[in-house]
Amino acid sequence: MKSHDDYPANDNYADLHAAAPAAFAEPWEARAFALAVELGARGRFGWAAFRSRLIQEIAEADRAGTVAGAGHPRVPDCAARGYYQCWLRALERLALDQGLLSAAEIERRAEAIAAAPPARTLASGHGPIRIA
Amino acid sequence: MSDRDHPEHNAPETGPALRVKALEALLVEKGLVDPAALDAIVEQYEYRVGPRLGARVVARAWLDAEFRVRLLNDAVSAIGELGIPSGPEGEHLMVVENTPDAHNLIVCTLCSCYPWPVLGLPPAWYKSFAYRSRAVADPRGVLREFGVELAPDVEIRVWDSSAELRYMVLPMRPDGTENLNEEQLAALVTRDAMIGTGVVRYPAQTARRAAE
Repeated sequence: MKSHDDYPANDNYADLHAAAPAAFAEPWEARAFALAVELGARGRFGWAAFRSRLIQEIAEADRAGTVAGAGHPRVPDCAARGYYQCWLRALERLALDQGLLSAAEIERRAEAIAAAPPARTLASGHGPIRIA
Repeated sequence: MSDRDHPEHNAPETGPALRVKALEALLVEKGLVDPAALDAIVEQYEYRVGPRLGARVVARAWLDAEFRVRLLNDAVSAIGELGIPSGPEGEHLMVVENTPDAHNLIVCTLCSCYPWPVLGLPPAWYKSFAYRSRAVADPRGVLREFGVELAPDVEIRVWDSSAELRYMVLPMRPDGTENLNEEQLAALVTRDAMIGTGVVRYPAQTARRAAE
């Protein structure tokens, strides 16, 4: 993952965006982000309600020291690795509070997915890996 | 996110990735979210929305005095004039202008509020405890760490973003740019300059940085 230092201080117009650090470090972060934005956009919950839970989660992570992590060249202790974990917990808590999901069904589904990982090629619709 | 195309195909899901997958599957089944909309949101924030949009706004404000006034008075409609859509985290936006006497710095002390429509998603350091706390406690020190040395008599105004209001900094136009057009000006404007952790420099310092 790129750090702040990889960002060009002054570069040409197109590179300004192209060289921006990736928004998400891992695919699940992007998914969690999109779930919250989509639920908010569809009015399943208010953005302020989401934000207040996010604030709580971040405050908890700050206290536990999981957000303030490894060093940064210019601003120490700011890896923010735990940020999307906070985001995900806020999302899950709000979904429970709003009655969109139940804790039991989340557990059941997570167990089911863990027990049956997706098949490699057939299910994902890719073509042959080799034709000889 | 280069590993998106190469997930660990056969590894069982664990941790947050598993959790998100379970949430998404359930929410899709219940008709509460549309997977295609999720894809579109991810693509939008990974590839389409970013600080180049804010840079366009800044360049226009430097060139068009009336636009600048509108931008400072009602940022959302002024930005809309440029065809930049509003969106989540952009409904309430205020642009604060740097002057020779005052430098603005934005932070979200409680979480990560940030003007998404003009700057995209915030960088990791913006969300860090260190930045959130020190931007308030020692803004001059933080700016120094970002390579911004302000004269002692320049006032630093720190703006705390919230659900109600988010901020973008209108940086000062550097000297010597009188002959540049809008696109050339926009190219000088960095994300950090619009957060307030940077200033716009001309000529660009690419060569010096590359040599570092």
